[in-house]
Amino acid sequence: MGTFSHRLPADRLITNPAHREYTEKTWKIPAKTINPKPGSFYAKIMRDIEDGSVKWAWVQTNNPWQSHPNINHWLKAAREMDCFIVVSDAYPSVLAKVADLVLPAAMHFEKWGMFGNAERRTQCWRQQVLPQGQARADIWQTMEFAKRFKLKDFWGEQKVPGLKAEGFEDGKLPSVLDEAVKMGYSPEDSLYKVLFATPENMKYKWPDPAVAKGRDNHVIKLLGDGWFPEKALFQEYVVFGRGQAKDLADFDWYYRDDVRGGKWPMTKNDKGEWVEGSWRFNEKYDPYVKKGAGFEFYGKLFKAIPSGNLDGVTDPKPVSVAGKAKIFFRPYAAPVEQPDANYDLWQCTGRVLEHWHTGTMTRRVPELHRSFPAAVLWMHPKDAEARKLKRDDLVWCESRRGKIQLRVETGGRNRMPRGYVYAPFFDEGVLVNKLVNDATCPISKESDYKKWAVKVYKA
Amino acid sequence: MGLSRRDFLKTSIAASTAASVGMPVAKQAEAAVATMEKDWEWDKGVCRFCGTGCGLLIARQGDRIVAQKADPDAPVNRGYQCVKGYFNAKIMYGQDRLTQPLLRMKDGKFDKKGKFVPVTWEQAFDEMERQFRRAYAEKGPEGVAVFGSGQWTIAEGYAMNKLFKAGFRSNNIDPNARNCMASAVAAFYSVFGTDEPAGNYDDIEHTDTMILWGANMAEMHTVLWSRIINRRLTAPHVRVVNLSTFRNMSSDGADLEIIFSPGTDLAIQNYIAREIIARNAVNWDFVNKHCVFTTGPYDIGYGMRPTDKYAFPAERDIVLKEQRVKLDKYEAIGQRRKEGEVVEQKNTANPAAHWLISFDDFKRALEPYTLDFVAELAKGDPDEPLDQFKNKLRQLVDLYVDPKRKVVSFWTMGFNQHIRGTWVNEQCYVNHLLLGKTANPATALSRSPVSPRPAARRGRWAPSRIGCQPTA
Repeated sequence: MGTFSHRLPADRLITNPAHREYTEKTWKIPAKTINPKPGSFYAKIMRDIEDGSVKWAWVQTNNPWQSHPNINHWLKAAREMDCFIVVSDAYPSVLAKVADLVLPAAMHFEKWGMFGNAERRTQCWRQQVLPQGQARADIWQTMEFAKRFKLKDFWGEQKVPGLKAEGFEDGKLPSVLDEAVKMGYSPEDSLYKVLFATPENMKYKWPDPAVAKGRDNHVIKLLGDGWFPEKALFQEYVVFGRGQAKDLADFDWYYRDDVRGGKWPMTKNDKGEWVEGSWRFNEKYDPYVKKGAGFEFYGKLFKAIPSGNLDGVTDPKPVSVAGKAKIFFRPYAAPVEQPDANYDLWQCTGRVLEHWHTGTMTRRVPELHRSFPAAVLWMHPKDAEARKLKRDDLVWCESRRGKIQLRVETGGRNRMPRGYVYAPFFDEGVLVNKLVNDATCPISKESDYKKWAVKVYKA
Repeated sequence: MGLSRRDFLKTSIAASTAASVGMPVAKQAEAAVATMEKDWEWDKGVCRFCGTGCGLLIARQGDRIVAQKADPDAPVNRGYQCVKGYFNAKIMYGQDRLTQPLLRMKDGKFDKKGKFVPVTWEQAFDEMERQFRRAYAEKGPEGVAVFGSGQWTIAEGYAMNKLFKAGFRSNNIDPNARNCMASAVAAFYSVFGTDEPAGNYDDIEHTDTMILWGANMAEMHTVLWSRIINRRLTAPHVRVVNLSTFRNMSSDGADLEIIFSPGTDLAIQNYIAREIIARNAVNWDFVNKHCVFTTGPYDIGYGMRPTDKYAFPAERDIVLKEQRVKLDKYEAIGQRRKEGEVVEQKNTANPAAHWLISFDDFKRALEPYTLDFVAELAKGDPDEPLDQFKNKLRQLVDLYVDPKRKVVSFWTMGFNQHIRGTWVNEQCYVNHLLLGKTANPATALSRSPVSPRPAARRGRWAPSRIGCQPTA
C-alpha cells in the first residue's frame, strides 16, 4: 500500500518526481503537496523520539515498545521526553506503559477488512459483530482525526530541514493553497472532505446489500454520511496497480460467495471474468511478459545503472538493463556484534507456534496461554552445566543493552548448539528485545533480531 | 436426543467438521448440527495472524462469534489451520479488552506523569489534536509520526498513508513490515525492479527439492509445512533441507540439516555460486539473455546511529562500528583484504548503490569462497566434525545443481532480519538465476518461473515471507 516512509502505492517512491506527480494527480491534490524527502524508517522514528525530533506519534496495529530492538532506550524516551504517544490497541499491552492516550480499537471481525498474503492473494471479510464497548475501527479513528484539520493547516509553506530536491527550495515545502483553490478546494476544507469523503468516494453508497449480505458496518454508522469507506478506498487504491502488473479485481468480486481470494495480477478473460495470476515473469503464465521473450524481468525500478569493477564505478554513464534480472556479488560481512570473553554466548529471538508476535491477543486465550505461558531460554545442556544451571532455573540473561530474567530450557522443541541461546519475544513479562541491538540492514533498514551476544548467570 | 449439552456440543462440532470435509455422518449427528446451528450465520473470513493467509469460516449468533473452522474450500489451507488460527474469534473476548479511551490526567487535565482516566472520544481527540498542533508548529511535518503494520487492513493502511503523505505532508509513517520483510522488498527492487514474490504456494506441489533458509516452517508456518510434508511423504524422490543456526522442529522433517553459525549464510550462498561455476552448471542461454552481473560497496555500516552520543556505556564499542570496522580473518578473506585492516564506513549514506561488472569480476570475487574456507567459517555446531559439515555443504550443492531437480528456496526472518538482509536475499536469487533452466531444460519454461518471492503485501506484511524459488 506504500505505507513505508520512502514509498507511495504500487512500487512508487517518494524520491521519484514522476511517482509523486502520478500520486498527486490520482489523489487530486496540488503538485508539490507531497514532501520529496523520505520520512524516518521504523528504527529512526524511535531514535527521533529519543533525541527530541519527533514529538507526537500514533501507534496502530502494532506494539513497537515490545517488538523493536533495544527497547530500554525507547521506553525511557517515551516517558521522559517531551512527546505525546497515542496508542490504538485492543488490550492494555506494554504500550499502555508508554502511552499518553489509549484509544480502544475494534478487532478483526468487528470491522470490514482485506489482507494480502505471501503468494499475492487478496482475501476479505465482513464485520460480523459490533466492537465491544466504545472500541472503534482504526480507519474510523484515522478519518475522524482528519475531520479536525483544514487544508490551511498544512498546505501553506512548511519548513523541512534538510529537504533538497529538484524543483523545491532547500529546506521547505511550498504553499500549494493557491493551486488548491484553482482545483476547487477551499483552505477551510477539512482533510476528511478532501482526502476521504471525496465526490468520487461518496458514490460508493451504503447500504450495499449485495456485498453486505446482512452484515453491518459500524464505521459507516459513526460517520453518518452514507458512503462505504472500505469499498471506496479500495477502489481508489486499485487504480495505482492497474496496468502496472499489480492489478487487483474490484472490491465486490472478492466478496462473492464462490471466491476465495485472488492472486494478483488479476486480469479479465474474454468473457469479462476476473482471472487470478499465477507465476510472474514467465511468458507462459504472466500476461505482462512480452510475447516471444520467454522470461522478462519487467520491473521498472533501478533499470539504468553505471558500470565498473569490483572496486567501484569506472563509467558513470547509466546503462539500461531493462527486462533483466541482476546477479549480485555480495561478500561475507561479519556480524557487527559477536560473542567475546565477557558476553560469551550468541542469542537469537523469534516467535513460538502458540503466540502471535508480542502475545497481546494470543495470551488472552486460556488454551494458548496455558500451552506456552512464559518465555524460556533455550540452551545446550552442557552450557547450562558449565554455569551450574539446570532446566527451569531462573537466570539473568544480560547483553550490553540490558538484562532480563527467565527460566532455562535445555530440552523441548529447539535444540541449541553449544554457545548459542534462544528466547522468544511474545512475553511482556520478559521483554527479550531489551537485549537486542538495533542495528539494521543499511539498505532495507530492517532490524537484525537474530544475532547478538549475551552472558547468562543464575538469578 | 438423550445428549448432555457437552455431548451435544461435541457431536455437533465433530459432525459439522466431518460434513465440511465430506465425511458421512450419522443421522443423529446431522440433527444435532441442524438444531445447534439453527441461529448461526456462517460467513467466510481470513486468519488475522501470519502472512500464510488461511481461509476461515466463522459463525455468529446474534452479536457474538460462536464458532470458527478452517475453510475446506480455501486453496491455501484446504481445511487445515494452526493452533493459533483456531482462536481467531476467541482473541476478541479477553477479560481486559480496552473499551473506552484513556488519557493520562492529573487535576482534570492531561499530564504526562498522570494516571489513566477514562475520557470520551471527543475529549480524547481534543487532546490528541492539541498535542499534534503543538508538535507540528514546533517541528513541522517531521515532528509527527505513525507506527503501523501489516495488521492494518488494506483500507486502513491506505487511509493513514494518505492522511500523512497528502494531508500532513509528512512521510514519517512506517509499518512493522520494516522489521519483517523490508530486506526482501529491497532485494526485489534491486534484482527485479519490482516488489513482491513471483511464484505461489502451488510451487510446493510442483517441486522436488525444498530448501529452508532460516525459516522454521514446521513451527511458524505449519499450514504450509503440512503441504511440504505431504509432498515429501507422497513422492519418494523429494528432498527437504533445513539450514538453520540451531536444530528446530523443521529438522524433524528434513532429509538434510545444516547448522551454520549466525551470519554465515552469506558465505554459504557464495560457496554455492562458486561451485555452480566450477561445476560448469551455469545456464548461459538463460543468463546471457535475461541477466546482468552487478555489485556494490561493502563499507555501508550497520544502520546504527552515526554517533555514540545516545549509547549506553556498555554498547558504545558496538555503536562506534558504524563509523569504522576492524576486519576479522574471515571478513578479510571474503572481501579480498587484509586481516586487521580498519575500514572506514564511507557508504552509509548510499548503501544501495550498485553497478554493472563483468562475469570475470563476478567469478574472481567468488574465488575465496572455497569449501575449506566456508566450512571453517560457517560450521555452527562446535560438536559436529568438520568433515561431516563439509559433506553436507557438498550435498546441498548437489541438490541445487542436479539437472533433474526443481529447487524451491524458502526463507523468512533468518534472511530478512539480518545486518546484510538485502544482500543475502540477493544472493539467494543469484544461485537460482545462475542455474535457471540448466536444472531441467525440458521443463524449465513450462513449470515454474525463475523468480523468487518472499513478501506479502497490502495490509499483511506479516513475518511469513515465504521465499521460494522454483528453478523449473
